[in-house]
Amino acid sequence: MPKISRFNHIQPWRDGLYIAYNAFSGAVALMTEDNYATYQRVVEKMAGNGTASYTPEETELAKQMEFGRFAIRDDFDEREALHFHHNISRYDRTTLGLTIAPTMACNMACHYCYEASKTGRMSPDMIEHIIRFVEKRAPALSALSVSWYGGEPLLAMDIIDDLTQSFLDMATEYKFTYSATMVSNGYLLTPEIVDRLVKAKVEMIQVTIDGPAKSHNAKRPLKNGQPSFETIIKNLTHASQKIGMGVRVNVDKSFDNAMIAELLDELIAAGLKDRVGVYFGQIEPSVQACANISETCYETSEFSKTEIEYYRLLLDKGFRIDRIPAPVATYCMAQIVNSFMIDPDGYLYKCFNHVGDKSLAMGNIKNEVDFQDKNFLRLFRADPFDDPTCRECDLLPICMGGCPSRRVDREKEGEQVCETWRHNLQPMLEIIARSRQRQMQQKASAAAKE
Amino acid sequence: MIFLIDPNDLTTLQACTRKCVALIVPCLVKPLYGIII
Repeated sequence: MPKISRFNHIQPWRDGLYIAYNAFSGAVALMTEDNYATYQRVVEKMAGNGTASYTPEETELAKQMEFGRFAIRDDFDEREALHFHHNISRYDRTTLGLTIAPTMACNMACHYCYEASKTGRMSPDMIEHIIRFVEKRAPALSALSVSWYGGEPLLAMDIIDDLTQSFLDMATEYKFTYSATMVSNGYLLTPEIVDRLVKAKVEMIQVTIDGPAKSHNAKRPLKNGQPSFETIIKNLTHASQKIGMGVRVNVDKSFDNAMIAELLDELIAAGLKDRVGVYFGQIEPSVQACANISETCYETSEFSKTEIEYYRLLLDKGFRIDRIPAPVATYCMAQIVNSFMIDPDGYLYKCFNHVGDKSLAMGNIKNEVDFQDKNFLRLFRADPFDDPTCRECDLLPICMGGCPSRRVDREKEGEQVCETWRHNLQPMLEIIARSRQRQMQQKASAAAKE
Repeated sequence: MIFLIDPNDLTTLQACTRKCVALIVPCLVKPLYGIII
């Protein structure tokens, strides 16, 4: 006899429909009022002593519930399964994740960036150390995943080319898969560079646009004070035809709906509506160097409310909604032994926010990795299964305890550590449901035309 | 029940979404690394 999942979220929606979401499987389904009434009877029967008989309608719905994992085998312990997958991910040595900053230099001067004054470029000697580091692990690998980061990584395109060639050679020799992504400000993303990135197997690039042209240009000027918006948009138009592009909009208290609407109109005018995924990022004063911006930053609970309004705008303007509450095994690289951030001097970190601050490094790539280093253990120790609130949380599969740095470095606790889903799951599911419904309708009408 | 997100499609969908949301910029932490259950 199946039992009901502890991760079900059922909510009434519009037109007599209900949204059913399961955080363990990530399934989202719609139920009619009849379905919902049947669902309630099935839940009651499953909670009973196992002797209840099912009508054909109840049997059919129970099957669908099992498919979406809204109902599970009665001897299946979801929390134990989750813990098991979490530990596998933590200690997995078959996947190597590297976030590499080939340079800390940047051509922009964003007011909120703690990296602004940093410089430095990876030396040929350090490139050799990285190759040896991967080579040593290559025989055990099934996948190597690289994120190019910085500084602005496109200022060191030659290093990216060189390292990629070595990684691809090793992938062929040791038969592991290779994939790459990049965080770039987009200013140097010319057609020639895009072609090189395609060759370098970069599948996805995140570019940040902080509001409409006038706001972006004020917040993200070039180092020489010149605006960057128009060039970035022009570059996105070309790049999005060859590589997946994500547009991140960093949100602080200076934003309002009108600004977001203006930006979306500008993206539509540039023909980017169906070609880029847009999402909103919360700016946080993550390290001491960011203290100057803390007053303009949202707390997560406040950001959650703003985020809903912006996603509604995105939906109303016809963009797809990419943000979905999908299950993950770990929150980030801090919880994974085989995932490292490497700065141009070869220092290893467990958090993007620490890059360049050598006092927070867990060692250097020139030496053996020390898993007893205090900077490794400090974040790695953050385990949601040690936190009684997280263990009981019905959203644990999609957050896995939240940001370890927020928890440990910034000493946040309780709901302050929670992801925005904790605060806005219900309205976000409505937005996601509308977006998915629209996508399905578009697909159906396109199929009908063929 | 009509599935808007089918758990069997999630690997593809999540892989795609992860690429969009997993990356970060300075002062922000939103990475979603990890294997898919």
